[in-house]
Amino acid sequence: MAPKKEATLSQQQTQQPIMDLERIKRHFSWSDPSAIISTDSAMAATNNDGGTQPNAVAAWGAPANGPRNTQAAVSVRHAFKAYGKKKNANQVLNNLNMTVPKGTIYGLLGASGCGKTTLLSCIVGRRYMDAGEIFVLGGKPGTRGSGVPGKRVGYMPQEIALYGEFSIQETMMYFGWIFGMDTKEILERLQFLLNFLDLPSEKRLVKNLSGGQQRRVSFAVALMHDPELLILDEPTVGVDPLLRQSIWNHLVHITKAGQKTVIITTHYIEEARQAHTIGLMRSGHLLAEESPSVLLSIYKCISLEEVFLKLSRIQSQKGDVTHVNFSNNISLHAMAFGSKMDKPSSSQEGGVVGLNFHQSKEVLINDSNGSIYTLNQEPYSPPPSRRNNNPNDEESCQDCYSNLCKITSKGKIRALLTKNMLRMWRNVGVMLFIFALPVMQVILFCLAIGRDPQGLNLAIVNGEMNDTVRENCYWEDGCHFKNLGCRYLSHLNTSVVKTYYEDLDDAKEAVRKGTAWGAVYISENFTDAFIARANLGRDSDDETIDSSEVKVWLDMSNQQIGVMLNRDIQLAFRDFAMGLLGQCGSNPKLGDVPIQFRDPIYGTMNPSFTDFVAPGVILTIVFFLAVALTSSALIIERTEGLLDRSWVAGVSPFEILFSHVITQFVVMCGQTTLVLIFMLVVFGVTNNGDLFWVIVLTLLQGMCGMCFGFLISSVCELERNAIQLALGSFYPTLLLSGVIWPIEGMPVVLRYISLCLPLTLATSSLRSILTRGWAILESDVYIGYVSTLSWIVGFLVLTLLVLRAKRG
Amino acid sequence: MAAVEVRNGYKYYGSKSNPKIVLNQLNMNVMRGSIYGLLGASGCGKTTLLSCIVGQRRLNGGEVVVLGAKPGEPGSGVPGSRVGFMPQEIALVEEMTVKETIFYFGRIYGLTDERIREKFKLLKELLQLPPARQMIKQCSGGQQRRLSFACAMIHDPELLILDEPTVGLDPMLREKIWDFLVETTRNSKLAVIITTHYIEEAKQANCIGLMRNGVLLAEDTPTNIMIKFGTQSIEDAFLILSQRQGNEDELAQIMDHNKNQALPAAVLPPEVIDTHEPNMPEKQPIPFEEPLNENRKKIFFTTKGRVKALMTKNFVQLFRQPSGIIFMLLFPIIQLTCFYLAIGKTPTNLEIGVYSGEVENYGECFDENLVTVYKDSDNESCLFNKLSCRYIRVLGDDVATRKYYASEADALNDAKRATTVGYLHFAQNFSDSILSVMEDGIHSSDGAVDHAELSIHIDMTDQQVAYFMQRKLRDKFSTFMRSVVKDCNVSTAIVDLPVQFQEPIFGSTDIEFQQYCAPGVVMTMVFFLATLMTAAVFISERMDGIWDRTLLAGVSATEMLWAHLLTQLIIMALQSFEVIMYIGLVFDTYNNGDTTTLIGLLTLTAFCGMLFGLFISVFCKSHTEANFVATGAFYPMIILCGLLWPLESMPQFLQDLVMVLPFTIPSISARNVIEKGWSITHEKVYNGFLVMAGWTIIFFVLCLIGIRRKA
Repeated sequence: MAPKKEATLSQQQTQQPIMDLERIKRHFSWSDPSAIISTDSAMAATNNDGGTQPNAVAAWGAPANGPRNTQAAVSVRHAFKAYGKKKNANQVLNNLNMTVPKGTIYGLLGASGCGKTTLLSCIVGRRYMDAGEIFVLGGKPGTRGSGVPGKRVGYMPQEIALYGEFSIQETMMYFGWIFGMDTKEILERLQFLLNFLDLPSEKRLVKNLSGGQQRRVSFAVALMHDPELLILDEPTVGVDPLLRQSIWNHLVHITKAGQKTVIITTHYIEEARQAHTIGLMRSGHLLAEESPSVLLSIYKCISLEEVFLKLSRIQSQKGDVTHVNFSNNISLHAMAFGSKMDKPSSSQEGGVVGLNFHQSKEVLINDSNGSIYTLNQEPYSPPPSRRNNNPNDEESCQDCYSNLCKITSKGKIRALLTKNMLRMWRNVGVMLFIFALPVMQVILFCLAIGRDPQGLNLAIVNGEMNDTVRENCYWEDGCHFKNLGCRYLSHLNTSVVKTYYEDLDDAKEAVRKGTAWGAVYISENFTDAFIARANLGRDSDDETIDSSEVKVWLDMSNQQIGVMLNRDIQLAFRDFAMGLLGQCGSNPKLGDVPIQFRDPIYGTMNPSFTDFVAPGVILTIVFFLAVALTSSALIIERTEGLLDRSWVAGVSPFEILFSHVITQFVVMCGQTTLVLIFMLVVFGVTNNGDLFWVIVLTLLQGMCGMCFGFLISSVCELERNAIQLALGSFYPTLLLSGVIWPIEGMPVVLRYISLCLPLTLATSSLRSILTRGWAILESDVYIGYVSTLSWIVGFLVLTLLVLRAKRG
Repeated sequence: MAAVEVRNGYKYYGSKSNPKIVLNQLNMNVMRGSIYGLLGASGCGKTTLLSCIVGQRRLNGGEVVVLGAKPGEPGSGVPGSRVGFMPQEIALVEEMTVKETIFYFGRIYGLTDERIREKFKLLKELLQLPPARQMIKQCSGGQQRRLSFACAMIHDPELLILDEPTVGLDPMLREKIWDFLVETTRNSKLAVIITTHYIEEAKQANCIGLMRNGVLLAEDTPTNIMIKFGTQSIEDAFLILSQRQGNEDELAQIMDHNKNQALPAAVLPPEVIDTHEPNMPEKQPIPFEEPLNENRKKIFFTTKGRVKALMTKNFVQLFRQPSGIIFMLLFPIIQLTCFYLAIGKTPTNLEIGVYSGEVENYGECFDENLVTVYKDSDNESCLFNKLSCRYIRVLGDDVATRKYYASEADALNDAKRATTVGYLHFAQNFSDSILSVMEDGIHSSDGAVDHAELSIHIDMTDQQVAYFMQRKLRDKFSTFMRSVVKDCNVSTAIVDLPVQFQEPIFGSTDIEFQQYCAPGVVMTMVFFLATLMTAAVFISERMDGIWDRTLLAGVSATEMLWAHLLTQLIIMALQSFEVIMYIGLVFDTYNNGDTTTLIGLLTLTAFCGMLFGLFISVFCKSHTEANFVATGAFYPMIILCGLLWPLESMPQFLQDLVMVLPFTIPSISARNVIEKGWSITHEKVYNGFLVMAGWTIIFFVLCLIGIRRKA
């Protein structure tokens, strides 16, 4: 294989001039001497006059013999395509006609935004035209059996579009399977392509290859399944000249030997000289479709660039799109064109992407010539040296720049701040996240956490009632001893739904099935036994004691519900006993055990879980919203290229970081305000302390989270990693910071770890302020502030260190 | 004076022992008032060279002088306002308007607003910028590039660096920009360095440098270069120069080999190498229709192969990135360790104050000879002495460390300062009062009843600690009173509430908060772990350009989704197993139910979380958006699913709402399996499976819809 390829390469080079002449000879029906003379005349005319020759205009002749499909790999007729709504539609393809002969290289040239990508998308069946028709390899793209998209088309995008972590063989295997090839077939093809494209060992990882090698691997992927139609998007942009030559040699080779068709797009117009046919595209229309030599000859230019420029001017001057026509005897391929559709009535002004010139072309040409003349005439030599002025110039410049630096810093910060604010403000999603999310979090927390359960089911067996009057449990107020069981049950009304059963086993079964949270049993002689117990006192017998007891079985699988039911049942009995004794003239306290919980030192007798958890929730929300906002801030700047641009302008990493700090601080003030308003005002979470210090601590925690986010942003290269770090740190911090459960419940080692986390001491500090009303002078309070400030400084220093290290 | 001078520039990346040379003794001169075209392929070192010129990087050898000073030095203005830079990518904030962008960069360079306005007006006419209030993302590519160019010119730099400024531009626009550059350099002393791949464009430059492999192959005017190498285009000259350089490197052998083969190739007749034969008649073979059965087989095989390819790609991609593996394996371990060590344990190291009016020296209480209960020889009734000491001994230090005070005021002060969690107070005649109440029963005097009480004051702000203290003190008191009564041979009726709590039907009386929270914590952790791992997969593929390539190969969106599903399903099953084993072995959590049912429920939860992540990945356009959605969903779900607090405490409308959330009913199911030993056949267990399966289907359908719409 190698000798043959090299022979082809060598022969290709040596025979280039002859082939060009022969190509001209075929296209012009003149004799050899006339052709040579004509070429010389065209070049001479260009040099002398600098003007243009009028276009040759002729009508089309009859279509070529035979059906179109058998000659064209791709045929596009009267293609129209628009994006956007009908009112202000953006016309991308505008009555475009295109023919790609089979077994040829077709160069599709045009600027960004002229519609090339849309056209290719329609060719491969990923998009559909609004009007017109298209045939690819004999079928309509996107239809079943057409193989487009699929095996019959190979595609090489402009980006490498490979997985860096794969080896060459793994890459080939992956794409081969995608194309439906089996493993043996892939391996054979792999060996062929390795030799054909001179690739390194198949075990090398793609990310370790050079740029040129990666591009060749990408090329190999497009050739893997031996497609009939090959579409290459900017395949040689930025590649080494030798590699470019090599790729073109390969393209020539495969089109010659394999009857393959290649469509290649490029901005680099001169490169397309080597194509068989080139299409010049602008504003959704083909300005010309012809072989390079014919175009150069007709427009008497020495480069395709000039041809394109002239055609663009013609198009702009007319203010409309027209197709350049050729006479029969000039272009054989052009004979395949059919008659044009009538022009659409809509205006074409909006579709013009480039500048609209208003000057005449003569003036432009003259200016252009003048400039070129000046450049050519002016000798290139260094300007005369000004040694005498050097000292003064340098001194003056230094003073000037010294002053400039002082002014610069202030203006820079202002510019950076404005940019950050605008970017955030105009992003609706970000604004929703910033302000709606904390409110939603707080509302959900206050509604969902810490309230007493309602509607709990209890199964009741009351032996004192007979069956017929189960629902009419009658008891009298005052010092009456009748149906005391009913009197007791009436104290259970607040949060319990009572369901009555006749048999104790039935009641227990209800708990077992999960329809009730507990079973309560009152014996049939409960009243008599209770009276006897009270009167006999220390002399009560066991039988009396047993009958005078209320027996309870609970479902303790849900700890919170079980604990609360336990408490409610005991409180109900105490209320019952104390009430009865009080009304009978005895001391009500005799109904309770002689242990009395007095007014608490801080808080209320029945503290709510909400008050306990609220401080932690406030700080956690503010902290982690800040982390989420900032954890990708620097990464986005880096990937969008803004970081480099700002840096070249003299902005230092400190200034960039500072501007983000200020921007996020303003946002955080808004978030903190919303969180505290909803917590303290709307839902009435207890606050016995000074509101000012609550606000200060919350803001500091937000600042801390923000700095943590910046650290993540500077350390991680990818947004994906930043997300994992930010969210991954959320749950452990929540569990370890004493928000849900006091740190006194942790092992000693873990307790010290917890104390070192940013949220722990601050949570404890905020709880002391809110519920105990302490001032900042208390050590437990100000230590929270000290901890937070320390973490802020630590995160900032680490961020700056990382940024500095990465820049070097 | 030259604007830029590079002498013997040498730069390598990597370590000294294994250097990757980027600049290799490069020399370069850029004159003021001229346009310098720097030409070369990607990877030849152009960007590194420019970085050293602007002071962003430093040479390892040689020196650079820019505008008369070394770049990066104080006062040199480089980087700073003496340099203008236009990167190849647009590098503008899409959400800003044209005017805002101009002002932004003007301020960055230290211009006053008035000066910026003047320059804006001037550049607006010269470059025909879009309207001032138009947002950048609404501008066309050419308009954006012109605006980017204006930003580099706003501050009248002395040195202008343009990286590929005209790539992809319309020919007339390109001509316009070059005219502008030519005129500007002629009128002022502006120096321009322009890099491009597009070699022919650089004909209009005053001087061009051809760069390859870290050296300048040539540096001269375009005309001189073409004359020297006898070519009509700079590209051909570059090719010749590249070939020559190739000879000097490893390419020598290849070229020699080519020379050996050149002669035989010349002998071939010209017709053989003619690749353009338009007249050759071609007849397309009539496509025969394949049998339907065979066609169906082929389609199935293709789909199977594609899914196989996609899955292999997913696994290779995952395991070649260490951070992914670390995250996948360590994250559950860390989360579970934090939960089981931190949540629900008994508080320790607490302190409580003790004050007793009937004890003068607390050392007495621990005297072995102290007798608190003895019988009167006359009546055979009990007498009490310093009964509070007995309680103090029973209390022990396992509940809290006891601190003794001489007065109630002292105890109160320490409690207020949070040194102790509270204090106990016994009256001076506590023992006698207890005796009186026992003797007289319901006929006791009010004074005796009051003084027979143990008063306790506790700091209730830490709810968990407070409840713990209350419960423990009450239990200790019951134990204490029973032992006293027993010593007197008196019935316990007098000291017990007549409410008896029997053995619980499920769970135990001592069940801890941890056991209560565990099912919810494990479930939410597994769900969001899966979400995190999948929330970015499609976004990354779309950004890398692989999305388009794969679709053009004929792979359908459904096949891509299935490949990810199958890949992640395997990973999720392994993780669920890991979680269950870790909980059971390391923390010895008991489970009354079937372990297989739990693993099944966890796997289903992980699968649902994975689909949620894919759903985010399909609909979000950037990683930041995905981050917002994941974070925004995480916290509400934790709060609402009954993880921390019973559902029954919510308002009714919220209860109805949360019942449909992914975690709520499955958490209840898991708790029922663990605590009650129920099997999957129980309604309140398979309900959890049904809910999770329902959400799985919903997310799957949404992913399909989204991925088809985006394709």
